[in-house]
Amino acid sequence: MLCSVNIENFRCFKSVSVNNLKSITVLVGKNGRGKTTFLEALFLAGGMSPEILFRTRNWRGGGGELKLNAETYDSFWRQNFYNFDVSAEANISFIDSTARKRQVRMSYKANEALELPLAEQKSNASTFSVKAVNFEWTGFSGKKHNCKVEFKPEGLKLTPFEESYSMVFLNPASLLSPDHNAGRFNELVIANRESEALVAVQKLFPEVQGLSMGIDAGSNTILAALRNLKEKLPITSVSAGISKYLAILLAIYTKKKGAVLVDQIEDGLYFDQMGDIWASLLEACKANEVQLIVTTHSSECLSALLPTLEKNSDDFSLLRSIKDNGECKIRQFSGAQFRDALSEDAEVR
Amino acid sequence: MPKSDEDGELLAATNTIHFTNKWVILCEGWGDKGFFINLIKKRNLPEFQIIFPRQFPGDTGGWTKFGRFLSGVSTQEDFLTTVKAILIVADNDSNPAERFNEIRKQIASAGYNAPTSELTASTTDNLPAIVVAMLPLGGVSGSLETVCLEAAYSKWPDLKNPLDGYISQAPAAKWPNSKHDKARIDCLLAATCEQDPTASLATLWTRKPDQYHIPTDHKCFDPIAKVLNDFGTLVP
Repeated sequence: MLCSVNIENFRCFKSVSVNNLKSITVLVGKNGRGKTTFLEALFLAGGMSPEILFRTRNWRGGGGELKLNAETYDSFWRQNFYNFDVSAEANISFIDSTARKRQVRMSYKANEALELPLAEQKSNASTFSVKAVNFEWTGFSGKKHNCKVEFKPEGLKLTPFEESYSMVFLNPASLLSPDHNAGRFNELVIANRESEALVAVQKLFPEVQGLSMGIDAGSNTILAALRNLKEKLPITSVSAGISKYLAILLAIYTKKKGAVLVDQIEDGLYFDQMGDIWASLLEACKANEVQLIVTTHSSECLSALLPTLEKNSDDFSLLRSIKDNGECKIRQFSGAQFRDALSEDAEVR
Repeated sequence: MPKSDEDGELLAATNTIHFTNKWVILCEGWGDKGFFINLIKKRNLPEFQIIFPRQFPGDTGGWTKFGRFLSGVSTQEDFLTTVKAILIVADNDSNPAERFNEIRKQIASAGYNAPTSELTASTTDNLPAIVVAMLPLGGVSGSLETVCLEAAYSKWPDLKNPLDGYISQAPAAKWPNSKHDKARIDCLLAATCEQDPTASLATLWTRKPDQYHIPTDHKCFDPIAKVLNDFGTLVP
């Protein structure tokens, strides 16, 4: 389990440290305070390749394709450094409950230049020169991996680190991916554990009678058998809320001893069921030794957590991202303080 | 429950407090809050945001809720970025030293370092400083009502003996002494206000306090006013 996280010089964070992360950590704060960035930082540190930065850019609506010229190349990397200051390295690290440390360091190599092909011809030259960006991961084993961002005729070349942390990032853009969810469900089927998912779904949605692998419009999907319905339906067609809940559960079931990051957990879930969803997610997290780190803006979603929090405050922590003197910071609170905040009607969102 | 709500907060549908001032007074209930609003206004004292713990609108608050309340509001961004110091005001009741220690425990339970003595500041990383003032000031038994009674008697000196006699013959005679002044002040206010014989210390501040004969410019309030006036010198 991740216990502490340290972020230096990454995007909106100049320097942030949090400790005592628990089974479920809830991250709250106004827009533009770095909640998603915090999750992305964790995902990058736990990941295998700088490709993650392209993926998260896409999830944020930045578009999937990066048109390559000197300006866009530089801008893409520079925006990942605090205040665009590339003179210092960005460093993200976390330590787990057995004191093992994993980190990624991102730096500009001032004395190394890359020759890149021009996408837009503004001169007679066919290439342009940029500073090289280097990523160095250090795994729990202590093994280091250098990944220099390279461009080859066939495209971007990123050599992945073979040692990744068991982590999945679910956000509104990625949550309903039938392929990913079907892949995780298939893992459960192979492990003969699919009934766990069904039981958990039925607790909240008893109309679901069965879950099975299937193909819909040529893609792998999870099919649901519903009471009073002759044929099975893709789970995404049954309900976006049920599908999302199942997606989170599947991530927890298949990332044993890892972490599941969920951006905007309340999205698509009916407020009246959030209390049961929290209780169910905590149960799943504890059974699978998985850590859940989520963001939310929803007062209803948070209020619904109170009954579970009252009974299990030691399993929770609250992080609040704030802007203090123009700088994004994260303040951390214990489960007991989180409980007090909710019971006292404090503005937790 | 107050019958009207001039500052719009006492009967609010939500308990959520939004923090707007660098200095906060955390007191025991809406009667205390009304007192401080009027004291500050009457004497042109520095501005404080005045709050008290509530579980629901109209809740009477109380010092036993300080810890959980303080712990809860400390998670708010506006609290963390706006509030620099908190003056916690509580009644001494019958045992001033014991009550002060209980207030310290409430503060510590909220994750703050508690002051070691009254009217000195304690500081905690990333949280506002805290000062505790126990009423009446000077370590004597009693409450805010004890001080208010002195001011009220200045207007109604002839009511002191009858009130003492009444309390001595009522079930209140068996109560702890610290509660007698609370009973006395509400009796006095009700019996001197023809317009509203249900008047009490808790409700009068939201209406016309001068009408109820607790002059906040009375000298008995000078020590409390001095604490508020000098608060800037008490905190970092």
